[in-house]
Amino acid sequence: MDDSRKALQAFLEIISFDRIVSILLLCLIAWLLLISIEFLLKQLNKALPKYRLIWNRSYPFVRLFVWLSVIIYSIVGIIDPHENLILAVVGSISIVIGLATQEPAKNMIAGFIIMINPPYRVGDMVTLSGHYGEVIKLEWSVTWLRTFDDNTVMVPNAEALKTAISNANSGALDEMVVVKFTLPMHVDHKKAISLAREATQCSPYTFLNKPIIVNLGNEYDLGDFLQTITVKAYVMDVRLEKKFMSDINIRVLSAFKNAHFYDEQQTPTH
Amino acid sequence: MDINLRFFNRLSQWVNTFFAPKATLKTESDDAQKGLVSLKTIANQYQSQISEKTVNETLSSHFIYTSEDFIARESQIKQITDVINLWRNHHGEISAIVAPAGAGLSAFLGQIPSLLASINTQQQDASTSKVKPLPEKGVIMSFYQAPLNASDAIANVCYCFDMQPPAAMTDTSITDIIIAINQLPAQLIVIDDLHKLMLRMMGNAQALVTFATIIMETRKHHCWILGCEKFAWQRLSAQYQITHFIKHVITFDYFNTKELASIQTKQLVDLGLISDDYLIKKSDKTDIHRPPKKSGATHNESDDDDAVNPYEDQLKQLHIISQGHPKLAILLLQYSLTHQADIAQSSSSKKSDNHVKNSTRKDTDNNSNQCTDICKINASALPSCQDSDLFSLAEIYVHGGLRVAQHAHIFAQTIEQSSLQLAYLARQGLIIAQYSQRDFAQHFYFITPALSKIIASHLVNNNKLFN
Repeated sequence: MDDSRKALQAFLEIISFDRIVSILLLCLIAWLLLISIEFLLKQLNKALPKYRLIWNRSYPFVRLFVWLSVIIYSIVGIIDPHENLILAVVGSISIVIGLATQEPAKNMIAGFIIMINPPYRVGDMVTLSGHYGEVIKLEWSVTWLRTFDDNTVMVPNAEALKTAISNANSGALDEMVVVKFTLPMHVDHKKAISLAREATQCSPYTFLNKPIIVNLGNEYDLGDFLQTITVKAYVMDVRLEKKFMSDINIRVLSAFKNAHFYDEQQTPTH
Repeated sequence: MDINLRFFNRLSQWVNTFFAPKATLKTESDDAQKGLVSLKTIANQYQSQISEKTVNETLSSHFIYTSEDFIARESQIKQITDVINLWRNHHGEISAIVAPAGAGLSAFLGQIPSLLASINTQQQDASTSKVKPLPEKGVIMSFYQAPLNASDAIANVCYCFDMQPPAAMTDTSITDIIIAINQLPAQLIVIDDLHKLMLRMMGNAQALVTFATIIMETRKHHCWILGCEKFAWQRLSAQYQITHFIKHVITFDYFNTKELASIQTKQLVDLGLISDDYLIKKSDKTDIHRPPKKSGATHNESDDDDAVNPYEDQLKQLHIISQGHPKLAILLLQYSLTHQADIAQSSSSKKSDNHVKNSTRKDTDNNSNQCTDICKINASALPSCQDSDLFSLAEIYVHGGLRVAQHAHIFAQTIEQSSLQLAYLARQGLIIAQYSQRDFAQHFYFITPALSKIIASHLVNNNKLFN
């Protein structure tokens, strides 16, 4: 009876009003700090957009660090529990880890793994669970994507780690874009390759510091032999991917049409 | 933990609206009172200066680049001398001089004829029969239009040698031209603005290849020196591996503090703000400890001081603000001197706060306080540009200027859209228009030369230009 009374007393001491207020105050400070950091990072993004990926990817780490610091300081500095209690907490954490098969805990652990050993970062163009888009936010439990249709997609981190992830730019601003063209077999393939390369080079969105690759292939479709021209080029900024693809299509198709590659009835374009 | 920022976003919007300047008509004087000069004002100043200069030059018919105004670049001059000597000793290779826009590349190339003369005088006695004789004068060319096919490229090369281009293109045209050029007397040909030969239009790639082939095949006989802008060079290197063909690449950047101060001191002398004596003493290093004479200046410095320019602080400020860009520095200095009253009005309140502290400063400092502060640049027009505007600026920058029709072609849009977009950029002072009286599609737009460094830095920051 005495033991249980002592335990209750110890517990009441831990959750005393002062301590709760201190912890809340600490959380408030941490929250304000994070808001300030986020605001500053946004300003940096505006001032130096070239380095936006660096600023964006640093925020999840900062947030993790701030909240971990809050948790540790709250336990060690404010609550200052008895050794037995620490042991009990460690035991509880072990149970939580044991129960990590539960979805929320699983997502949080997955989020932690993603932050430590990132298969993608904020600003990358990735395919997650069948959705392709830019990673706009990386949280403990979920990853937020913005697709080119301007939809925001939330993918649970556990889901992201479970499946294969395709990352188009891996932390760089430029990204390879692949556009395929089909041509009738009788077309001069050397001229087609040359035109495709030059037309791609003419696009103002082409990142010229990296090579433009044009591959020739062939396929049999609907009873016709066709040759395929695959253009692989880098776009200056991942956000321009679709615009770039469309631009390459416009330019290469115009070049092909002007060279009369398709048929006699088509109208030359400029 | 997610943080809902909606409230803070609204708060931030409210704060921005509250502190945003009210919609009133802003004048040049308003900016000057704040110690600022807008990009538009710089562009206007530049244009008015250029038109004055053109009239003067037409009247005087003097050569545009004189060796009197040329300063610094000693190591580059030495390198180019070595290149010419190597060519004379039958080790001719193509050379390129690469510098950012506005750093004085054309002025540097303009020194080559006088350099040739000096090499001639130095080596007249020592010349041997094995050494190739120097041509009497070099040819400096800059092309007005980029070639868009092999025949254009051949024609461009023919113009360098004052030859008639072939009437029709045949399979042997390039070979014939190479043979013909190699039979001509040896020449030194300087091609300025190489970037103007490069255009993001279909056919230009083949034209550049043809042009490069002819140059490569004639490099032993003729001395080719190419001048190219830094970012355009980067593009040429990435796309055409131009560095594989050019052996000597000489580079230089904007002027350092000392060099820029030297240019500006001459400007101050021209304006009559400091005396000629100062320049003479400044150049004479042995007399540096003598107290300088200054006209109209209340300069009471101690005897052991060096010849301190009363505008020294301003010259340092100029270098920081202009980042070593000579044209911008000259405009800023002139503008600051013209608007001295406005700037002094704004700075007087700031200076009065520090009056007590300043009272113990030396007389030289008092003197410089009488001079005006240098206006800082208000570059707010650049961040307000949209992505499409920045892409346009990048292309105009790299190409050294674009016509409306070329812009429309590069951006796959209509000529009318391009015309409107370019007119907007011109109104912001970021580009300057040369209007064609016949056709608006032929209006030519180029980056305001005094703003080239500021615009290039902004474009690099925004991922539109690459180092």
